[in-house]
Amino acid sequence: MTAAAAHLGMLPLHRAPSAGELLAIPYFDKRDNADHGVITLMGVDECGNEICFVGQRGASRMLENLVHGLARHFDIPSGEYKLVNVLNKVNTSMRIGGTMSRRFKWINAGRPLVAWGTVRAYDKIIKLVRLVRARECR
Amino acid sequence: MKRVIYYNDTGFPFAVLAAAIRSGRLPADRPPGRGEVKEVLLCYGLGGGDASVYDLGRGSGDEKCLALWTKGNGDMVTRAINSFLGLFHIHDYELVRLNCRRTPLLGLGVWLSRFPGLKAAGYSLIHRCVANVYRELAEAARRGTEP
Repeated sequence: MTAAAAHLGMLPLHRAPSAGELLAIPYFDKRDNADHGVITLMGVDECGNEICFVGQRGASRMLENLVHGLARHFDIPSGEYKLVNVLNKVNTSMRIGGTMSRRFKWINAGRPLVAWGTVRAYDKIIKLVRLVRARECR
Repeated sequence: MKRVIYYNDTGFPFAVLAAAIRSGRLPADRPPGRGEVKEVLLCYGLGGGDASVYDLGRGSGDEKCLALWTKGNGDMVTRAINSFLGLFHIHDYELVRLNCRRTPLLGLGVWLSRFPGLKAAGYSLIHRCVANVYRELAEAARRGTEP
């Protein structure tokens, strides 16, 4: 979601965002277990690409197999979509904070921890976003 | 062309069996023989399920019979399939979730089938467990053909 927001220009591309900027993103730390798997449209970038995000409970391989398999059997050209796995950019603070906030509903303690972790991981996330934007907006 | 997607999240390919029934690779009106079940399972493996999508052929109405299975996360799989296909405005499909349970005996059969000397015993156990739920599988396979 953070990567999608950065791609769409909702977050700065050249500096780490503040916790306030992160919390202002739609859906940030607001999706529950029951939302995992829902591919949600976040917006359309300047090149006309629809930017979506999906939570996948750490099962990124499963989701990739599923999406590629469906595309193959439903004749969706592989160039029509691109999966970008951001899971390996997620750090421990984000995981712990996310679990506290979403699973145990300790929002007051969990959400600031997620935001702090996201700020710390932002450099890695933004590098990936820049790479994707460069490829997709050629 | 309509697609019927069978899936289950118990870590055993019940979905493959249901799709095979739908496409006529397994009988719908009688329990299958040991060799029939083994033949189908050998083609698609007995692993825990990584959500790969398999094509089991065409049904009587020329619909494509697809199958996938996972170990857990069935709710997430439902949402991912519906939302991904929804993004491309594809609505000509039917999703059939199977609720057959993976019993300890079935798990034992799968485990035994990994060892060369115990393969026959493993598949025999698997066949026995599949035969117990076969009526349920055949009913699930029929779903989607009825209005």
